[in-house]
Amino acid sequence: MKRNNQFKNIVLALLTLTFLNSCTTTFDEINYNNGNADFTRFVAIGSSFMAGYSDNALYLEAQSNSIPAIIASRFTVAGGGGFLQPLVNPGRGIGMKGNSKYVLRLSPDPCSTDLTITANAEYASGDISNYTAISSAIPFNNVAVPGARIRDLGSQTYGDPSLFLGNPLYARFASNPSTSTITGDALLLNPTFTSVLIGIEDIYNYARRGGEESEDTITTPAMFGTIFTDLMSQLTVQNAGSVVGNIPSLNTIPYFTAVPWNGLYLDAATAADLTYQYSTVDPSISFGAGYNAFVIADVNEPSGRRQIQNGEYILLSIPADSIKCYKWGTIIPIPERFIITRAEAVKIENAVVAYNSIIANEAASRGIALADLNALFKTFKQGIVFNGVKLTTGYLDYSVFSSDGFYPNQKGYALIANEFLRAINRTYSSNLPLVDVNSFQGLVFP
Amino acid sequence: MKTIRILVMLFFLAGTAIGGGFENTPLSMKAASMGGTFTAIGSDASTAFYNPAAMSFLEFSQISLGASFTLNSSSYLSPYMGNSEMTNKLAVHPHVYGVGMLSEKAAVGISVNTPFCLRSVWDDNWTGRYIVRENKIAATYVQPAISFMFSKSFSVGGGPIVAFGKTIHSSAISYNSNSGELAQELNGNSTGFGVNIALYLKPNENFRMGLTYRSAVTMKVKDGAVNFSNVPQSLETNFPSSTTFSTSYKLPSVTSFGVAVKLTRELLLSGEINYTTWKSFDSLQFTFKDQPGLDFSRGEFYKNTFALRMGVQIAVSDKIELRVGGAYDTSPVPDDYLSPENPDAQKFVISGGGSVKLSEHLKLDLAYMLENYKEREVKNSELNFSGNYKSLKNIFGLTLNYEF
Repeated sequence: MKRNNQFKNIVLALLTLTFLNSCTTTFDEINYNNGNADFTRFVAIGSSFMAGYSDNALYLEAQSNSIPAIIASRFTVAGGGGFLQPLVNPGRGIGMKGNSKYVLRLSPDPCSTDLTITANAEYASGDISNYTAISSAIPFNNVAVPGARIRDLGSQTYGDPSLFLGNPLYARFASNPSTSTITGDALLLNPTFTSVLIGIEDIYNYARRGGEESEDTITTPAMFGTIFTDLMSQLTVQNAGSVVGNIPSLNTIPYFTAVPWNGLYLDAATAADLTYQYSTVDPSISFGAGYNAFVIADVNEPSGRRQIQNGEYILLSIPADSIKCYKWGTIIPIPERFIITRAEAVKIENAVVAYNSIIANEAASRGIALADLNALFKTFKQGIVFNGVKLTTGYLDYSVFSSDGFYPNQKGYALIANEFLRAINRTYSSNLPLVDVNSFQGLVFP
Repeated sequence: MKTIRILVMLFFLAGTAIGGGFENTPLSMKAASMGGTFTAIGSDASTAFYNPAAMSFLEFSQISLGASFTLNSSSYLSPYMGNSEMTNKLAVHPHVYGVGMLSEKAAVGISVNTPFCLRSVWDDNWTGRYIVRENKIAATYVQPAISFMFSKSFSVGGGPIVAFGKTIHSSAISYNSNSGELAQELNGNSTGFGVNIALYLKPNENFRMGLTYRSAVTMKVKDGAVNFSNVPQSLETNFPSSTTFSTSYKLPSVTSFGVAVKLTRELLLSGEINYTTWKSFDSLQFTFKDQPGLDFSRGEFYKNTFALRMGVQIAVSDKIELRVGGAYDTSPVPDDYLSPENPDAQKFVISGGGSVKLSEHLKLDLAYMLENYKEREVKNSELNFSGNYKSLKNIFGLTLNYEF
């Protein structure tokens, strides 16, 4: 009898040990909370990035996964409400130039049998039926407009539906085209929380035109600061919460880095031949075996040309076959509109630094959250690993940017949204979950 | 009674002791039902595997035939909300043992089983798909053995190990094409060799001891098949169908020491300790023929482990024996390197089962084993993959033992 008791004790001990951990593979529920923020009525304001512009157009899939749409999807676990976006029709999408969304294609070079990947519009034109004004009984939560600069947010003409006056991508959802403003529309919902990302176009419209002043100048930091302060005071009335993003640096965007300044690869014979050709007309230009600096046009040089230097950039908009087939960068200097010189790069980076300090000061003084996208993009540049997969700011391979090289792809927007969410959690003591970047679409290769 | 107390104490002291990795313990149902202890018992043909030295102590030539059926449930909780469940696949592992008595003092035997088996299958679209969709490392060991009795109380045994391995690793590749996300599947076979040495001591009818050493076995996969899917034209040169892969890994050595005590005619207690050199499993490197850009590796950095096991057997009647057992294992896989390829954790094991004598010569062993893995929160810094894992293994099996 005694023996049986011992035996029973052992069995009981074993059973207790095993079942202590419970015998299921389900997890405890996690409680998410909003901390001291109120996500009831969330409104996003900004420009292309905030609108979900990708592959050089606004199209349904990317727009549905815009930064604020992702943020709003997380707010729903902590008291957030609905999130209405002015969605475009399914299909071609609509770009700022009336173009369709871009896709990657495999096309033959004119000068060889090689096939190279190029990015261009999927259709001859975008779906212009999207210009037709869409009306909604309730105001939109995402009033970001592709192409908007900070001064456009308060402009009544920006939503003017007549062609060439306003921005048709605002006019299509403006609450009252030709009189309403983006900021005014943002306030219609009396938001309890806002997200703001503005200023990218103010700097990069200039950069993307190779720094040609006549086309578009950088909004001065003074003007940016005045309008930004005014905007933030309107958005944070009655203690409404907010998260603001800052501006990435030039050298973290593949539109400027995909074609490296010293990307001219020459064998010894070709290099010697080119050097010889330049030796009589322009001896300052020379080449060696391996990677060389491209030859660019520069009006400040007596010869009108020179070799590009480290710290200068060639734009991705350079015709794809020009270098390979038409001797651009070697015999023919690359035109200035495709080049950001050192002076232009300094001007751009100075503006980025000035804007970012305005944004940081504004965030600090109002006690609102700051999403440091500038730092985030710098970490992308080194390459990050998310759930086992590499992501970089390179062009194409593992890129967080879309086919146009300037606007992020959906994975990139998800990473940015996560940075906004982290900033919100930090500032407002909430514990919103981040999103799984691997569940978003990246580039589609041909 | 004192012995029970000591064994129970040992069992609880084993809090820091271990086994783990992907050792497949239920290799014969008699052993499985007693927590995996058999090194000192050696009472049927499966001793050809557990302790070949004990073969010469058997009374009759015999064979054992059986299989275990394992259902593995594993859950992963993502910090990005949502869980993923490992796809439950029923794993069937057959085992065959035979012992032939050459004389009063010598016996030969053969053992065929799968002492190492790892298989993790996750959903095709789960968040960790770039790390793994399916991972399988399985090794079937074929071990012919011989045993000599040097005295009435002491015998030695041993033999070679011939191992046949199967490696499968499939994952998604973070490129999209119009036909979907790219994927790769690696599938290779390997063989390896080792040795197996054992001692058996039986000073009297009621006390037995066993000491065994099964060496490490290096498995080399050469020119394994690589299959890429959904590769678009623009990436054909990056993912060529012509490539093959190679990898190698070292299955650990296992040293076991066991004691069995017959307290009464009906009651048998056994305890056992295993030392497994998992440290040999420090990394897995996959290299591709002519495609160095595709190479990948995983730091595993396993630690050597101890396992402590205990079992009890009661003879209820001439025909029926009942058994229970248990073990406590911690994991050789460190937190920093735990990946969904093998979501191991420390575990509590309980087992139970019994034998029925079907006829004079034929005996049926049944066993059930539950391995309960402790919930584990990890951050794999190499893969930047963090989350919580929780696993449960239900194992059922049967073995038929026929004495000639």
